[in-house]
Amino acid sequence: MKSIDKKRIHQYFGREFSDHELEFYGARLTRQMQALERLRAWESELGSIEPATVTRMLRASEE
Amino acid sequence: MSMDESIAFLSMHDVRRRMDAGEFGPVALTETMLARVDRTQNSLNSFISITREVAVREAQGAEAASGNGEPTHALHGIPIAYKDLLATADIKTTFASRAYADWVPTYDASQVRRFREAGAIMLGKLNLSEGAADSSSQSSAFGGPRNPWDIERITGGSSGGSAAAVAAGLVFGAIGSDTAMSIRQPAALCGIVGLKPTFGRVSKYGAMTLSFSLDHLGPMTRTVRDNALMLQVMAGYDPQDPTTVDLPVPDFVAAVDAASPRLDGIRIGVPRQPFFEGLAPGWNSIFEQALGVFAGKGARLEEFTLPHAEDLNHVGSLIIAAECAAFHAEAYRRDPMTFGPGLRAMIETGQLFSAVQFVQTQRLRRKLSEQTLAAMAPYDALLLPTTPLPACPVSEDDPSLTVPRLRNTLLFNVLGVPAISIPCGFDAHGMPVGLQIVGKAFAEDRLLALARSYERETPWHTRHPNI
Repeated sequence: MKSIDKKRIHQYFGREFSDHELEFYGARLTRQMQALERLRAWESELGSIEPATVTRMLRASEE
Repeated sequence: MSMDESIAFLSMHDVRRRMDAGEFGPVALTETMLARVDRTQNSLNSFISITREVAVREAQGAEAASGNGEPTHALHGIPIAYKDLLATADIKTTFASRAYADWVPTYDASQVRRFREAGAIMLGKLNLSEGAADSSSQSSAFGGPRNPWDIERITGGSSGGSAAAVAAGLVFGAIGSDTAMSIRQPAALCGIVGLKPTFGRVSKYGAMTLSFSLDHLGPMTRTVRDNALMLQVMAGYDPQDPTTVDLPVPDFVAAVDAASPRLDGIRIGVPRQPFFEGLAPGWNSIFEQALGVFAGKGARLEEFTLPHAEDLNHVGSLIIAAECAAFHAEAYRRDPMTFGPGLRAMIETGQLFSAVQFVQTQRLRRKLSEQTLAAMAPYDALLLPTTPLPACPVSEDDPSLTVPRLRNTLLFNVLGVPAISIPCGFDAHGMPVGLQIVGKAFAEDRLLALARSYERETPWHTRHPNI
């Protein structure tokens, strides 16, 4: 894995990863970093939304 | 007693009809099915545990009840099996993992109890991905199951053993679980019907967890009507599972039996992008033909864009990793090396998330879900491929295939709406292809009726593998 990726991974997960860890986690780590990037991109639009259970949300959509 | 094994592919309804006519009883049927399980276990590896003594004892009880003239349920005397993540009293429940291989529960999962009370016969516990966490089921600590249409190929996952056993005529139905694709994708790749009900419709009490807020239990069968029969047993509020919803349960079987041959007035959304892109060779024409069946019956098909599909899948993947790490936290602390590499990697990467990131993920889930459900609202249902990728040879399976395999399914777990996979054809390799129909929350009756309307016009559910 390129060093630039290591820097970005550190940025998202808050620590360094050994080469062994990077190999073991493989593409999973990159995918989760991409997901966290998308999460950051949305943060400014989350406003005052509180976490809600999916059940409550679905019942509301039925009404 | 030896029986004609063609009975193995009958519908549940036909089995009951023939039992009621006195052609055979639950004991002979169970022994016939157990013989099929024994004969195919080496090649298909669809079971982790074969519960022969329990099955025979239950069959004898069912036969005695029938002989007494007691009123019986539609599933009375019908052999089924459970994915080996459902707790079964006094029978080991492994999660296909060395970390839990010695667990013998003292209680039945709610679904196991419901089917026992209905008189169904448990043949055993079915193989799966370790921790229900991969897309091919090959990570099972007991070796991966094989696809009965071609035993060199994967079944899909994580309910791979369930799909293989139903497709091969070893059981008449199975319970699977679905967190990202795990009922629908193996159902598609093995040529059967698999339903992920609405979140909250079916109790998960006693089911081991991959993701608390994305897991769903559902029925896997060879026909839509059998699926409705099983869902009728499974659905309903359970005080032991606080995620279940106390709503009236429709008569699913009546809805299927009343399914209209015409679909005039039904409005169906077809989200082309990205769901119809990157399909396996030859699959495009199969899906176009399937859409044509609905159009030919009078349904109004409209192409539209489903918003936030990719971001909903990202949200789902974050939730799965974090909740998976939470469920396994204690066992992982005790001995991480008892977990296989795939599940261990998921647990460890799930541990990387901060509490803030998890809360933000939940907030984003709500925002995206509200907008996406609003975009879906005008349509009675959506049609799309269950998965873009076929059942590959076991030798070509790779963890990197998980993301494309779940592309068309995970977002509906995040949304919580019901979705069903039904057979819609066969590819050039003779492997089954699955069509996904997505319905409205708590309207499985309408979803099943729509699926039945398609099924009655097509021959795919009548084909079975030669094993």
